[in-house]
Amino acid sequence: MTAPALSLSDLSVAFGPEIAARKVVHGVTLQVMAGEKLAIVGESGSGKSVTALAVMHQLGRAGRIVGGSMRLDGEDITSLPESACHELRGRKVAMIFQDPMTALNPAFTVGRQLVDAIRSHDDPGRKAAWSEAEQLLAKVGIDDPRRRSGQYPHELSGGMRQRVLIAMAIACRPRLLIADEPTTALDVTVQAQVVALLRDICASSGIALLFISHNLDLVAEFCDRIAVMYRGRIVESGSAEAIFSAPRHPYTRLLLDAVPRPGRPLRTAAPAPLAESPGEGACDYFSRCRLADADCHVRPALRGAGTHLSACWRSA
Amino acid sequence: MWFAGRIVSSLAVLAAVSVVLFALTRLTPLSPARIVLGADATAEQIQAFEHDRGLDRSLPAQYSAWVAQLPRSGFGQSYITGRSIDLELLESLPVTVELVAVTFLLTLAGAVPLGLIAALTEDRWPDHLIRMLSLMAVSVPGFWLALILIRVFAVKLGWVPPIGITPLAEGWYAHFTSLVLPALSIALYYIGALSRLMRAAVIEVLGQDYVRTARSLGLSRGLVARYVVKNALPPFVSVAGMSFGYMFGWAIIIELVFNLPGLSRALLTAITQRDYPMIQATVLVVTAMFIVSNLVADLIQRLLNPRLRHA
Repeated sequence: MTAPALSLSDLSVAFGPEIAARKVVHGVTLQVMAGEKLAIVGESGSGKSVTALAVMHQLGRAGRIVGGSMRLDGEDITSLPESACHELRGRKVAMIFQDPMTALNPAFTVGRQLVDAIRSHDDPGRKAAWSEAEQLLAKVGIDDPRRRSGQYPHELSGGMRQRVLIAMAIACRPRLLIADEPTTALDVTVQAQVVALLRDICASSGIALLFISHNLDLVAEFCDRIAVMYRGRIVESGSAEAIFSAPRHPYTRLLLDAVPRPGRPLRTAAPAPLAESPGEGACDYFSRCRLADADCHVRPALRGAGTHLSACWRSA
Repeated sequence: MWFAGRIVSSLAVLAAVSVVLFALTRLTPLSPARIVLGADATAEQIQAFEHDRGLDRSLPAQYSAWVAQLPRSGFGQSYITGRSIDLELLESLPVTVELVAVTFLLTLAGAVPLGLIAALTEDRWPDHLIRMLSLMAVSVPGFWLALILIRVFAVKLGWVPPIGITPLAEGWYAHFTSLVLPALSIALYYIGALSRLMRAAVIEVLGQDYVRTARSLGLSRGLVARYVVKNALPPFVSVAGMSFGYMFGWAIIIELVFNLPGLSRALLTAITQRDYPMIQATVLVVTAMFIVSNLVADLIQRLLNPRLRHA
């Protein structure tokens, strides 16, 4: 059995100065195998992007890992010196961000940016890098790659820019690709194309995919497994089918119900808390949960039979 | 096409300035005849003087006569000395241009690195130190600074001559050092102001998504720096271009302090003596410098920003 492409165990991340640190990710444990597609789903502020940035070692000056460990291809990457981070980024893990309109440098041609990405690791030389760049553009479905590579980002549509960013991300054949809401800023038809492209790339190259989204419907359709995050913790995880067809955590159910469907009245999250939170140590979902009772004053751990786990006392 | 348009609009600005300049010159009280001929001159003498130089004609007629002679005989002759103004400018303009050029280079050499360092060490001690120094630099008046610099570096330490310019014939080093103090007197203010601008521009770019993208791809520090600088430069370039023009105004004052034979001497004597053609020529030349420096700044902007090229 090979080591997972990415393995996080009990990972915690905090922001702010030492004395007033605020933990935003609490003991997240997850694994992504090579070629597998794992989705992290949750609302804004649930810690999904921070988890991804921790893997990239891009938490910034204010953020740091305060507990747990991260392994990439079996190699411990929890704490790395700056030089090793450079080797990690792009070469082993690459990331695609949410807004393709601002993620490309407006002052350089897309070809040049792609070539810079290719030459950052195992530089094949200028000429080879340019022809590789054209191949990569063709691979991500851009017509006439020669002409496009000479163009600036503002001359490309949003969908095309996201394709260019995907090409840049896979340029150095990373083991893991992190996509942080890569389709949120795109319109629906382009969204489907980008998702299909990511699926093809994972299937053909064996790259593991960590797909961050708040759209459960979208990820249920194309990811293998799903982890639902709420307030910095994973509250439910399992295969996409299991979670989509038989959600166990009330928060997961809420997420599924939040998507409008024809023939069903729209249900939205309760805007006001249903109850006062009983304090530290209680289930984080307590104040919004319709099922909460005295048991929930103690936070439940992830539990369950097989691979479908849920952190709720009420789930079977 | 774009460039042709810019040339035309630049010429239009120059023409408009020449009209205003001409009018303002004529509005100064006291006729040049009175100054040249002295208090004892008779009314006939004054009339004759003014008639010879066309000063008794209407303002529009005088203006068109002045413009008409420009292509043929340049800026004409000084009322006072009778010397060719073109020759006069040929002697004094290079001194001022050289002073401004040295000032500008000093400014860039100071402002760009200081701004970069401040941005990269945002809110840590180098940033605070640079902020304090630039605040001091923009608060000190240039002419006062000039006097202090002369006192310290020329009088006390004797490193450089206190006034005047050492000719290039005596070696380029001596020539350059004689320009350092006057250039520094002007440059310090601009180093302070432009380093703040550079800092703000770099910090703004550092927060952009494409910098995060570049870092997440493991691009080297040098490459990331190039990505950042190319995007941070446009606002800096346009203000630097304008500063180059403003420096001519400062040069006039500082030249006086250091007794440099530049435009300042020519202009200030011309003003006190109501030497109309000389005033007009000098101010017009400075205006042209200002326009050219802005044009160059715009050209550089377009090289840096592809979105402007396609607009």
